[in-house]
Amino acid sequence: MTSCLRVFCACALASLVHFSATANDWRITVVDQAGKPLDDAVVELVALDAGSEAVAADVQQTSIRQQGLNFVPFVSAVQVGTEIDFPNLDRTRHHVYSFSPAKVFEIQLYHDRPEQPIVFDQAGIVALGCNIHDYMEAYVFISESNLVGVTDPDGQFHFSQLSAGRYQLRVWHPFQLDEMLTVIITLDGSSESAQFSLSVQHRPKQPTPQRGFGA
Amino acid sequence: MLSSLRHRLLLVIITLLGALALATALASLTAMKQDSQQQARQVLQVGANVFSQLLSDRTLQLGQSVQVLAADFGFRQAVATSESATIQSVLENHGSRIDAQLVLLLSPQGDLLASTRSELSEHQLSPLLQAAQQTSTSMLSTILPLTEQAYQLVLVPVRAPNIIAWVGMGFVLDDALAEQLKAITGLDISFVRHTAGQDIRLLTSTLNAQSEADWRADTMALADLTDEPSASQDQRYLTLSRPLEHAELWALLHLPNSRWLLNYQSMRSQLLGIFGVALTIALLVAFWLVRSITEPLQQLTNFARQLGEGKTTIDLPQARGEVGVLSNTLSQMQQRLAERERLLIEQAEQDALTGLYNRSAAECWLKDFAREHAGVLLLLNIRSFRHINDAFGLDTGDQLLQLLAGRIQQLSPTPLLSARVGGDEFLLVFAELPTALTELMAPLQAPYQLQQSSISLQLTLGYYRFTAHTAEPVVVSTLLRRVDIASANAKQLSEGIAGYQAGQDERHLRELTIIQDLPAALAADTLSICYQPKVSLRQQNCRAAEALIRWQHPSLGFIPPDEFIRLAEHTGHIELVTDWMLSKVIAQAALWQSSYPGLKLAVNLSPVDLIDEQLPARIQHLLDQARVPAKVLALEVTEGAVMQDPERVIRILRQLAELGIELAIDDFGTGHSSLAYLKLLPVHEVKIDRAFIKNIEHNSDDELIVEATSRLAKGLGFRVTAEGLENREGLAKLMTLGCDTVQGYYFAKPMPALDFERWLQQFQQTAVDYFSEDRA
Repeated sequence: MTSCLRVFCACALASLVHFSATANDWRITVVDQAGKPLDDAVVELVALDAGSEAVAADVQQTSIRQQGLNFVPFVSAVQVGTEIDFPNLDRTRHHVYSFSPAKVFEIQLYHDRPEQPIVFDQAGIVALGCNIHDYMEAYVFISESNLVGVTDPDGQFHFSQLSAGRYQLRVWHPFQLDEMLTVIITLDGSSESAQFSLSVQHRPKQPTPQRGFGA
Repeated sequence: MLSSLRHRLLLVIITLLGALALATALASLTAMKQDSQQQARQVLQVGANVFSQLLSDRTLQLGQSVQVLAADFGFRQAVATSESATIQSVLENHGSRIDAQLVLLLSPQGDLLASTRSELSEHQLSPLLQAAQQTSTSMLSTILPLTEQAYQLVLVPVRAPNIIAWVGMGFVLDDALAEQLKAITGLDISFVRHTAGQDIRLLTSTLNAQSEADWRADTMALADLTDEPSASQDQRYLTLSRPLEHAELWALLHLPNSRWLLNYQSMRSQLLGIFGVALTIALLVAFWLVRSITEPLQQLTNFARQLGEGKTTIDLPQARGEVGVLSNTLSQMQQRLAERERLLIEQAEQDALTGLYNRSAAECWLKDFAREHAGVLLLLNIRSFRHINDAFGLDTGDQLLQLLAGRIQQLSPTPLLSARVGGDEFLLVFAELPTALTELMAPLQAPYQLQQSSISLQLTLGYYRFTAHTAEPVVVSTLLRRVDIASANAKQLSEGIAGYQAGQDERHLRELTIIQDLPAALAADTLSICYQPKVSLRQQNCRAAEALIRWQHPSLGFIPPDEFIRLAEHTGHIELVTDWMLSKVIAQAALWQSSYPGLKLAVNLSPVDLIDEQLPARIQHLLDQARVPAKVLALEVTEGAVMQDPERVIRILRQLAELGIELAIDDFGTGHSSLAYLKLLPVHEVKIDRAFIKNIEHNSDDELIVEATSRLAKGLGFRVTAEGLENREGLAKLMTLGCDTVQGYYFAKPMPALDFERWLQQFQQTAVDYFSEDRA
């Protein structure tokens, strides 16, 4: 199954995959090229059949903390229009910025909480950095769909209450080497699981904060 | 020259040392040269390594600088705007901050977004970037050729915090850099670009244009110079190449050849100097060593040579070891030789028996002495020493000689020289003649006590005064001959002392000539025979003649027969004379046998002939050869001849008589004849000596003697012949005195054979006249 999917990944941007899944739950597992579970991978489903779209939710709110001189979480997946707060739990100030086209912003040196959260009103991927801590980085995946999530340390993400039908599945990871994985899948209502593989270049996600002025 | 040990040793040592020094010098110089070259290469290699390290350090520094720039928030913000004008501005602005001569921006995918130099193209960089993406490095560097310059290009990602772009900054490899590198590495640096198929283009260099020509000629194959520098001798630089990070770009590192060459040359001069000095010292030492070996040898050689020549003037070298042993041996040898020589000289000069000088030593001494001194030679002889030897034995004779020698040495005055020059001959030399010679001889003649008997010696003494031979050379033989003559004369005298008289030597020489010439004269028939008729008084005819020998010597003239016969008797030649005479007379008798039958020829025999047992047989043989009867021959012998050994002489005479040969006693009346023997003699005739005949007509004593003798002879049955008849008166007397035959000048003197024949024919007719009263 995995090798089969890999073929798709390699040769098509969009292809059709049939899953005999129930309309309720669908568990997706993302592994790396070595078959190890890959966390912090974003999985997104976009319903292609009319009527099967999920109902748009209210304005969502979430936060990305600066804690221990790092962004937490490393990867966030949000629906367009989500407001993200950047609470600073550290004693130092941070200067959070993004030059990504999906959302260019800058929260200059601040403590505690910025005056207001940032609204991510455009789909895309935003890379977050801190101007005084170059190693700090975090990613926000802004999706048109509400069916979007980030895999847990077991590389799994669980979709529930899905109606049967065709979906476009996208899987993304900040460290991935290839183009974003995009497949068309068909869910038939029975509960199923699927596994996808990504080629990534592993590197420390949360580098140890450098102290002092040593090398 | 090469035969001497010294030269050979020197040659060998010089050759060996020279070869050794040459080989060592060559090896050392070669090694040194290689070492210097190797050092130069090492310097070059180290320099090259330092150079590489410097370049990479520079890259790091540049990279860090660029990284700092790329992390600048404003820079990142500007890049993120994606506005090309903004981006261009920020590139120029930030590039100028770190003096980058080239700034460029690439998308994360490698697309060239912006550049401060329009010549730059994407494809020059994209391979680099692709490689970077594979390894996710935070910095890339390369060296790029761009137009006529090379750029050290550093690429770093621009993170926000993901990589939103790559910013690259280039730094020209310029003179300043090259000088800086030169200051650190100590090498001249060139950066070159070599596009395939084109000449090498020089980008920059610390060398000037002139020097460039020096390395350029040989450095076309840059890839070959990465490990081994070009080492062509005529170049002024050793050059090593280092590839830069672009296939067409190379760095060249130059080390001036002169640096190691100078080093090598100074070391070479030093080394050659050391070798020269060492070789000179070694040669001097070798010379000294060889000299120390050969000099004693040379001295030994000279010593040995002088030893061989019998003289030693040099000292032997005082040396140790083998030379010392040889030296000592030679020294001992010299001593032994000297000892032996002394002994030899002693033995050569001394008479073994008496210890006096021997003859040759005496001659030598005399030769030296007579050159400057006058003196007297005395020659002593023992009379009848042979008889002493016979009587007492040779040992006693020798003892006697020793005693005599002892007394001679104690003579007063002491002789200057005393020598034994013959069996019983002693030669003495005095400065002047002792006044009383008899007194001188007295102690020598005093009785000697030997073997319980007292022996007295009779000595004879001949002496000769000689003058100093200052002008003329000394002829020792003459001196000795003269004293010898004196001695011979002394022997004849009863007192036994005679001095040499002037002229004796000449007589002696004449005798010597006669003695020497006689045998040859006999052989050459230069002697002649004269015949004197013997006339029978009774028959008044001539039936016999006496053959008399005559010698006309070519230089001495006529030599009286008495003289040379006497000498022949002394020298043992008389036998030759007798044989010659006998053969000639017998031959003549054979001739005359037919014409004058009954003619008898008489030959005189010497006393020496009469003790020769072979004489009868020889005469018989001669008669047989000539085919003549024995009766034609008569032989005359003297009384003295018979008396020397009567028994033997009588025996021989009898044998002759038995052959049929008539025998006569010659010179009868002058010898000391014993009448007892006379009756035993087988003779037929007695010849009365002329001494009694020549004055017989006046002397009555003679007459008496002749008459008595004649009567005696006749009584014994002998015929009587008178010799030396000179006149008619004598003849008359003789006829009355009973003589049978007469010979003398009255009838004829001795004549050669032809004259005799003629006389004989005439006498046959005129015989009567000789006897007539009228004949005067």
